Amino acid sequence: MTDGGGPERIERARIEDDRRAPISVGSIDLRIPVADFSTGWNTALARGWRIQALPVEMGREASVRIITVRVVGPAPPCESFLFPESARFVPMGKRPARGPAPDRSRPIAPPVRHTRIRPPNDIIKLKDRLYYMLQPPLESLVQTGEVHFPFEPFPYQLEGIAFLYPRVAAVLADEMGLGKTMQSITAVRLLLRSGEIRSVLLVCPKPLVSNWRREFALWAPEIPLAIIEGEREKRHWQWRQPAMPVKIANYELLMRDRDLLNEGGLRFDLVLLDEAQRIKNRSSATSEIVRAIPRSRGWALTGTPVENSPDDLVGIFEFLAPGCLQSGMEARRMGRLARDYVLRRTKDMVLTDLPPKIYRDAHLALTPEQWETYRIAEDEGVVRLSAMGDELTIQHVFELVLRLKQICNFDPATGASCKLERLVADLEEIAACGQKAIVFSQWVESLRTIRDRISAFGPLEYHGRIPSRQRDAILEQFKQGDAHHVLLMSYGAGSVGINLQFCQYVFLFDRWWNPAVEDQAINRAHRIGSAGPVVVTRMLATETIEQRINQVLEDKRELFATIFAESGPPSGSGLTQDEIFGLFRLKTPNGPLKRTA
Amino acid sequence: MSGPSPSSGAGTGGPPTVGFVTVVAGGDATWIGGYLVLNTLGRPIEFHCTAPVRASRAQEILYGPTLQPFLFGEQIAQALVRKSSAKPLFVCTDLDPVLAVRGTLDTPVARIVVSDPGSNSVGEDRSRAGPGLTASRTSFGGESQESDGRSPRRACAVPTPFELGARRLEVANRFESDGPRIVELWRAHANELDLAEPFERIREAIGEARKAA
Repeated sequence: MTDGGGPERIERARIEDDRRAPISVGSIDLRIPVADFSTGWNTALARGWRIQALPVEMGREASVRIITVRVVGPAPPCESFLFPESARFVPMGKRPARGPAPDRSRPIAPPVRHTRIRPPNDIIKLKDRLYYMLQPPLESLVQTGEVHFPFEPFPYQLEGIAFLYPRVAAVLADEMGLGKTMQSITAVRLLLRSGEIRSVLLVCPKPLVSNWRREFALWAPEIPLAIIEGEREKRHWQWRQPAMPVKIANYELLMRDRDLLNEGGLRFDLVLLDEAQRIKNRSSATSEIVRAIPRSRGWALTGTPVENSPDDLVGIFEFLAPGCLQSGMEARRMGRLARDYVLRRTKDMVLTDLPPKIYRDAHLALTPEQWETYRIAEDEGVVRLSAMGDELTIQHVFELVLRLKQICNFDPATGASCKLERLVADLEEIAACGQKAIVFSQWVESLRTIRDRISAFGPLEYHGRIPSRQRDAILEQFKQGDAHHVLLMSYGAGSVGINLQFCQYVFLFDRWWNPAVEDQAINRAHRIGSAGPVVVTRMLATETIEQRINQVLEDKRELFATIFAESGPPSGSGLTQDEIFGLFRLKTPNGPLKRTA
Repeated sequence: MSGPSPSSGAGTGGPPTVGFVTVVAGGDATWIGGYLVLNTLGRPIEFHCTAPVRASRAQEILYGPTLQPFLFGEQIAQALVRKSSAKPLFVCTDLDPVLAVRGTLDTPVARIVVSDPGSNSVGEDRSRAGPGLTASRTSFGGESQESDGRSPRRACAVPTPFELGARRLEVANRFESDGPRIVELWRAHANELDLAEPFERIREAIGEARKAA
């Protein structure tokens, strides 16, 4: 240790000073009152605090600390989407849209219902999805008169239009009579007028071309269209007419103009197929030609997307979205995959104001005379078919089926008929009430036999042997004449294009192979404007081929209901070749059949 | 396709347009704004939406009951409208607090009055929106009393709405002259577009954008 300056010396001086200071004595009362608490915290918290503020003199260097809180942050980041300019629908053609200009002087009550365009799942890009989602509801088009409609569409029709509009691939499979034509025309019209598409090819069966022309004139009068027809040179000129945004061709014609369509440099923004079941067979020439047409969009219209088997739908999808569906795919999986592409509604689903359709299945036992004839015909027929061996064809089986079905209508020897007996009994009641009925059969001969035996009810005939020029007059006579209570129609002549909604009774004297055709027949009476409930009597001879056919068809309906579980079963489901063979447990040239009645 | 695809470019000049702006709850105390520019026939020209926005704790404390006008109007709506290249005739909203954006713009702003009581207040999930937003949920845009028991007050709108087509609208009290101006600008188009309907579209589009995010 050193004796000099430094810390040691300072410390010694401080101790010396303490020794010289006077000693003071104080006392502290250590009896602080204490209460018993389990924790003591509560009391401590409740104890009053006293804070005494004393002035403090600040030195020059002292300062107040300031905390700055930023309350207005930067603008939130935004994402932007810009859409094509579409100020107004582009004008088309020379004819102005019909209808009065909307009255702008008075406020119009806004529509309550809003039908919106929803993008399908295959539109991935957000901007494209938003483009469709942000379009105005279709009701606004009707209300503002921007696009004129001759009649206000039903809400389900607007939904159908909203379904088609954004889709690159779509099947509109509404039940017949719900307006597939109007919905597709309107969707085409809106796409053309908005400039999203510029060229459309509509393909339909030849007999329906004039109908499409009429419907376009009604629902889209401003859209110019060309019917492809005539000589080769004329057709080639028509195909290449850019001024005609809509071209209508029939399936048969496509075959003749195949080279031009597939290799002629033509391209369409939309190819629309009516009665699209025409391409259900993928190996058919029609299907191949249609699939090869260069296009950006493809739509299919059909009331019977599945006629015979789920593979029918696969055929249609080969045109719409190749590879989406596969042959032999499980029905439920097929339904799942097709769901976003298919829209199917039935009248029961959408026309809630339509009177009900009441089915009565008349299961009738053949008369003894009919039964005797039937039993012999079937036994002999099956023996004969079995003996044919490799010579056996579907045609042979088909002939036997028809023969047996005819016996179920009438015994050829005696004219006995369990069905006629039932029909007469029902007609007496119907005529007594002043009502009218339609009787359907697939055979004109059966209809004529019926006619001769129900003359008391003033029957009229409408079938293939009635000249076309007389048909309208017959319908008018049936509608106006009080003495005519029955109209006898064949399925072929009376299933389309006729409105008989004043009839409340329909009889299916024999059953058609395909329920879709039966439905079309029934819909002559059961449609918009029906006077009341429509009673449909389906006649079925028990223990006969009719019952077996019916069972096969019912089984198929069930299968198809699985595919279209989301949108209702399709009404079309006929018999396949295997199923017809199976009705008699016959073996085909290729071996035994698994499916039997 | 030979026609213009939805992804092709947008035009900005030419025909008159109107803007629609609203704010929806984004969950987790966030808010998302959407701004849709339509032509007079209701067809979309532009759409903008914000990222989810959450008020900070400091904002909740300092803005108090004025938090919604600040957040919805001055922050979200202003950012959206400024982002747009369109010059609309006017901007329409369905929320009272959004009217506060008018103080930052030259364009008239109006709020549509819908018949459903309370529907001009802010969307769902208010209980998680933070103190400032929760407290004001019954006051903005409605006549009811604030939850803290103070007297009823309106955030921005004047109490007397005006008719436009089939709809009733209000403007911010500092900009009363906007009402007659909007009526004049929109008179020719009053029946072409239902001014209440586009907000449905915005909400759906925000939902779609969130799904895609």
